[in-house]
Amino acid sequence: MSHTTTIAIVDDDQAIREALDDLVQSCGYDSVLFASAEEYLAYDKREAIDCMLVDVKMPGLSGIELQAVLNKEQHKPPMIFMTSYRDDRTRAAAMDGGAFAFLGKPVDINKLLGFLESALRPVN
Amino acid sequence: MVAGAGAFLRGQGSLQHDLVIGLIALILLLTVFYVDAFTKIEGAIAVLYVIALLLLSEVVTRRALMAMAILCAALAIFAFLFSHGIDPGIQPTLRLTVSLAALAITTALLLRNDTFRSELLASNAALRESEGRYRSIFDNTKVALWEHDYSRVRSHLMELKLQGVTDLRVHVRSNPGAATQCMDMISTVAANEAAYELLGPHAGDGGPGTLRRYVASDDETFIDLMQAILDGAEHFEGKGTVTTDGGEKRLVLLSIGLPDDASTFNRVVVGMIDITQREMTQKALNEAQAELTRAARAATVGALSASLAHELNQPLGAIGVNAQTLLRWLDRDPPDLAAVRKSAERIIRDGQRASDIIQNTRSMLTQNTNESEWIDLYALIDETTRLMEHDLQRDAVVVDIHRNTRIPSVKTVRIELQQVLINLMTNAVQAMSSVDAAPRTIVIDVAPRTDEIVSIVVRDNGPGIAADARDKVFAPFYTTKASGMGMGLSICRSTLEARGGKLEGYNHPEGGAVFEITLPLEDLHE
Repeated sequence: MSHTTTIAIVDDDQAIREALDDLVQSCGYDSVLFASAEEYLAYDKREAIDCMLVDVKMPGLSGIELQAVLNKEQHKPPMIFMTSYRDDRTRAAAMDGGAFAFLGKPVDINKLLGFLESALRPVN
Repeated sequence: MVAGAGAFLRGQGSLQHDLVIGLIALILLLTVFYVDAFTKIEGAIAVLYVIALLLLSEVVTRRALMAMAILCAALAIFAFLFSHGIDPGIQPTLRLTVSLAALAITTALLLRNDTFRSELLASNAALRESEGRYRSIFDNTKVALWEHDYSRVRSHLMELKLQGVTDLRVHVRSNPGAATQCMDMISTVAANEAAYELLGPHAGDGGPGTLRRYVASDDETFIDLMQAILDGAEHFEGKGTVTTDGGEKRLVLLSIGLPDDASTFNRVVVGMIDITQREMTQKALNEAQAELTRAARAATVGALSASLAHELNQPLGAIGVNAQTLLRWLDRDPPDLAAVRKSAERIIRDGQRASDIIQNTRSMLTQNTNESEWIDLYALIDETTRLMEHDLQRDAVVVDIHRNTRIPSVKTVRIELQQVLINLMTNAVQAMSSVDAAPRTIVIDVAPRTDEIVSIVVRDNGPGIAADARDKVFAPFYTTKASGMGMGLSICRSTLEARGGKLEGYNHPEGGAVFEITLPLEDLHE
């Protein structure tokens, strides 16, 4: 590997952010934390992001809206969505936008780690 | 001759009777004249003309009477001159003077009598007319009128007053038969058509004790009426229950004008309007309103539990992630104990946060009583904003609370005021969701309006109240939302009004809708 794997965590809740941060680090990955979609878009080293864990409902741009913005860009890291609202419409919107996975909160850690691993597996 | 006589007659008795009286008077007149003029009887014979005048006054008109009086005087003077010549002497002159005086006085008295009589007749006719008019009103009005004789009960009450009774309720409590005793002293004099319709076919039956059929002896309004009579009140109004002849209970509005004059208490009119239907409608309305308030409260509880679930989901989710991460740190070889400690500390912190949320919710729910309490408005607004945090965050709405001055506490029902605030803020959030222009802001401004009134203004920067909606926003079932019931603002307004407050809605000159709550600083409803 040329660089350490970096995961972006975008969630408006600080407790969740910190918990995910710790989890990702326990797996040996690096992490960058963002409290909102806008904060993520303002981040200048987005090229280095390998995967994103994104909350759907956030003040300002939602996770889905963030996905739409990123889809117009060159660099599109796989996105794993997490939400407390498991409505089918949002799920469909996320999946149509090319989401890697759509998970309900509270997050099933094993599932999350499984998706994370397969998202990071180099495509041969 | 009969026709000629007719012109002078009053025409009140039969013509024959009048003619007989006239004839007798005429014979008397001629007899007196004959005796006065042609016999030597000394004395004031001419005085006897007054008898003829008295008789005639019964049958002839004023004019004819005056003409007759002048004729009598002329005859007396003629007889005097005829029998005494030019030099009559003192005695006969005195006698003539007495006679003429008697004639003049009698005529004057008769004329005055006649004036009085015609005045009496006129006023009697007016009285009859007014009585007739009153009867026609009494009979034809739609208000049930019931005439009672209160004279006996009034004297009885006045006696009680002399004995020192001032409060009849107290008196009745210590003398259980007193109310019935009063009721038995009242008898019905008359009832109009509407009263028969209301009470039944026996409404007009007289006799003492008849009232007891219609009014319960422990009826409080009856005692109040008796109290009004005892106090010498001029008017009595009240709500009472009557039982009709058919055994049905009707709620009536009573209105009784009590006379000033003790002697007219024998005919007191009791006006009754049947309000049974109205009261029932009012009751149904109140029940519907209460039902809607309960529904609105249930909706608030629903919103509350959704917000609670969402709020708890965050720390609980974090705890789950932290606990599993902790296990991963432990499973390492060697275990990363410093990381384990950090995870455990996060679990404790998030657990505390979850517990705080539950604590706050519980304290909010235990305040769910209908009792008024002193409320710090700023604290309540802060608490409500926290409760709404989820909705506000979701729509990216900023709440700006203006804390201009120190606001005295208001006394009102906390949960009610909070529901109103939640409703207004939810409306504001929804109104602004259609507007893209950022930032979406709710301004809450608390300020004393006067010494007695404090106002809470909730203003948004949404599209404002549409012109055609301005008059309707507070009307029940009016809504601009696809899923709305249209009860929110209507209930808010009546909730506030029940506590002496107000709710008004208008547009801000710089745009956006303004809803203004005003509350009395002293709760008048306690």
